[in-house]
Amino acid sequence: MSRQKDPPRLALRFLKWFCPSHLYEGIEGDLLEAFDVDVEQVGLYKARRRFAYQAVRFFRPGIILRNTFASPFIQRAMLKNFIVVAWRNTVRNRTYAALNIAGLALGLATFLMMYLVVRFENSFDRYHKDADRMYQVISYDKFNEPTSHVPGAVIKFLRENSGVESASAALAWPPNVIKVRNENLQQEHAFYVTPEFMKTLDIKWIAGSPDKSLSAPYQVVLDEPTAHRLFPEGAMGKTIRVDNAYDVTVTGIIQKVPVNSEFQFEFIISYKTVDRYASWQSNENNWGGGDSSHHGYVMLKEGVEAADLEAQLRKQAELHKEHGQYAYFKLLPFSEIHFTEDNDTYNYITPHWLPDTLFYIGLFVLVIACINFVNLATVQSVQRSREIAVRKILGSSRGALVCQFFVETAVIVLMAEIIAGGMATLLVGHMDYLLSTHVASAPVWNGNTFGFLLLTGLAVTFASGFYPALILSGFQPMSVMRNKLAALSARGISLRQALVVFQFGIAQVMVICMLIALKQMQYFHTQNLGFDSKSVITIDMPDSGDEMKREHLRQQLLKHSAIKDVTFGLTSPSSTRNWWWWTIKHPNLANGAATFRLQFVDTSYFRFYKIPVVAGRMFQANDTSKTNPVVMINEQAVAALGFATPEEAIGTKLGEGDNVELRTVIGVVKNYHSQSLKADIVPHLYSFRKSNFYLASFRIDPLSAKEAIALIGKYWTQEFPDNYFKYAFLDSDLRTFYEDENKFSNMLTTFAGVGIFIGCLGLYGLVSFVCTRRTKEIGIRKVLGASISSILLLLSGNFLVLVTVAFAVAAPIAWYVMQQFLEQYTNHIEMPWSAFAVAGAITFIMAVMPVGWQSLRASRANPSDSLKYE
Amino acid sequence: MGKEYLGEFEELVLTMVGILQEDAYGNAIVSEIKERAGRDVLLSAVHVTLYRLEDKGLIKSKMGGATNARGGRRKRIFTITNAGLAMLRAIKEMRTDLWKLIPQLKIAGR
Repeated sequence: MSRQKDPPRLALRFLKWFCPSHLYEGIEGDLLEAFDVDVEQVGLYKARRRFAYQAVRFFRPGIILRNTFASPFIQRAMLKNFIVVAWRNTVRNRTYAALNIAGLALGLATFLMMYLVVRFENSFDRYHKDADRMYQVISYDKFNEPTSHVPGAVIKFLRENSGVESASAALAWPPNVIKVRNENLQQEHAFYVTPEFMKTLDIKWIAGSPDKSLSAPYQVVLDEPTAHRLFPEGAMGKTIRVDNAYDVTVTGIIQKVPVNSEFQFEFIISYKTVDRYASWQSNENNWGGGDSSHHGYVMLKEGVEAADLEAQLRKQAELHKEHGQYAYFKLLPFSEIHFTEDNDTYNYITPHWLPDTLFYIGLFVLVIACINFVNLATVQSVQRSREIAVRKILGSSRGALVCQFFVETAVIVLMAEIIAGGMATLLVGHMDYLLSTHVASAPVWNGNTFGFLLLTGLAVTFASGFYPALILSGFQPMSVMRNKLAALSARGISLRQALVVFQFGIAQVMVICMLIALKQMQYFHTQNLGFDSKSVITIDMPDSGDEMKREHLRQQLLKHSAIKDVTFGLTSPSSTRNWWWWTIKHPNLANGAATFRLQFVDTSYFRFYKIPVVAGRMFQANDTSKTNPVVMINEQAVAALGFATPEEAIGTKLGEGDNVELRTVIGVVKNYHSQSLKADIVPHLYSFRKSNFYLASFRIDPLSAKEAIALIGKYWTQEFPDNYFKYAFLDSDLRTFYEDENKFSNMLTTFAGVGIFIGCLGLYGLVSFVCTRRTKEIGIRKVLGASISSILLLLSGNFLVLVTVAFAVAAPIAWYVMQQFLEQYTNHIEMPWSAFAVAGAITFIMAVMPVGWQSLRASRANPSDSLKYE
Repeated sequence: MGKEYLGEFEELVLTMVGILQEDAYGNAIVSEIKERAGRDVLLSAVHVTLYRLEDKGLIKSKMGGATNARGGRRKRIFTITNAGLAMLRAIKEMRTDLWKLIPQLKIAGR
């Protein structure tokens, strides 16, 4: 019977586990006594429950920690002593402390900034309440080419699907001009959006609501800054004329969208307006192609798998194959939108490799800084050995010594972290500029940042303090007191050498990568694209169909000597947007059809851009006739059509989409790069269709650029008085192709520099230490007749050998990495061996400077000074 | 070292140790508080407070003799030290002084 009266055994075991042994008996006894009383008063069941509850409540710091800090008073006193000693050491060895703190601060600041960037880039559109159920639809055509265009019929199908909570369309279509109070203004970030989409996004409404403000045609919602800019006196109910075509009324105001969103909505026109104004965009019976900025978004019901819906969409695409453009569709999670390059993005894309690489570079720089610390700590160990011996003799345990060194490291790391935090805060704006992100506009300092600093600080303290703590606490007091440290320092030096090699190895890999990446960038920027993009100004044409106005503009401008030439086309030969594709039919093509890129050109287009015609002739003014439609192609198209020479292609007839009439090829132009150099040249079809000239190009005299721009502005405004005049230089437009690579090489340049600099700080410390230790030796050598140069060699030779060894290790690694990097580009440079030589030379010079300077100072010292004392 | 202060619960427990004299241990203090102050307190809270008071030198402890009750476990008996008594007295005197400063002749009727 007595067994049943036992208290819960599990609770007792738990108590025994965490409770300090010297307290256990008293506590257990009290609990058991209370249990006995309870059994009498409230019964066994309740008593057991109470016992367990009471026992568990003993699980609190006041009880548990009593075990660990058995004698808290002594511990606390020692801790104070450690901090005092750490501080004294720091002050006494100012140079080393400064080198350590500077190196660690730079390393930590780099790593912190990288963390901020990575955190920012990864935070895109994750803040929406149901982000895990939200997807963007990506369409894939028959050739597995992805596009972000989603036809209206797909959105209709999704909206009516039972697994879908809401399906929405959005269209980015910034107007050429908006008119407010008879003033022509420009409005970027303009979108046509359905109310459903606004509901799924986390947007704060200041006035209006998604349902009321966007469900009827000709409504517009502004974000707060835009509302203030356009209507300082209050925007609600005001009207704005868009593209001189229709009026919209302001029906709502939202708060500015956070910077870490793809959806930088400033000017949101109700999607219903598209039906009235450009119904071909929104047509809900359309399964065919269209504008890649016409996106589809979907929010699934809870528990619905994206794959199920993808399968249903594939079936639908199969059903509508006849007039459908797409073979299948995929659902892209919201958190991935920011990283997916297939997307015609509403904001900007950061491919995954960019933040990932950044993070590792930051980590490497930090590792270099930690190595500095270890190296400097080991060289100082000889000086500290006496202190340690005395501590040991006075009864300090090894654990206490290890603790002491970690405290010392922590003090240095803490100081470095404070500086790093300040530096990162100041420099993060600059970083935004280098990487063209908006980190500084998002909150930088929050709990996460502090948590990150704390963790990094602990990791750095452990990594840098581990080895010194281990070595120093292991000293034998007897040998130290007898000045026998020789064996020990030999061990220390070999590790030091390995660490220096490692450090400079990392730094040199970064430098070589940087040089090669820069070379590749330079290649991108200077490579002949096959057309002349110099001194070209481009302007979007507001009224593509009006030939009269266009010709008038051309005639007027050509009268002036500042304007060399004018031409019109769909786009410039190479552009980042507005790519039109066309299905071309010809018996020579595989399956009888292929997709060609379509470019509409004026008769002067090829002459203007200096693109040579290799066979046949250019378009002439009368080539627009409907009875005999003619086209031109490029050499790539000739090859795709299976002709051996351009001449053979002349006169061949091509089918164009669903058109019955065949087009005759009258000319072939030389290949040029119409996309970035990262991609291959694609087959082109050129058509002379005056209604599709969306871009005017002007070649100006670079010496009178200002005058030319003023002239263009003047005549353009005369022809199109209701529009906003905005021009761009083609050269700088083309550079936007390589933004990611630009970011990459920018940051490599910066951080390879930082890495080498930190490494050199460490070398400086090492050499200065060696110099002080060998002062007497140098003095004696000089007295005995050694020359300055021989001493210089003696002191610095060792380090320079290490840097050379590091280069030998770094070169193959860098070669391998950059081989991978270059191979991802279709057009890339050969592995430039000169980069290796230059990188070696740079690091060598950087290393020689501190080493040489210190050695020189030591070797030039007057021997009588160095030998005098003692 | 600055002056040590006592929290309200610490003061309560310290007083109980003073009252119970040679019989002050965890359970006894819990039931004494229940009886005299009408408060239900956790055994663990009392224990933690006792150890803290011991750290501050206001009470001291020793293990009592084994008994048949409590599964044979010994009690940890706490006794108040002179410093503890002085502390209690100082608190009481300060209270009294402060109480005197409150105007007492306020007429309540309205």
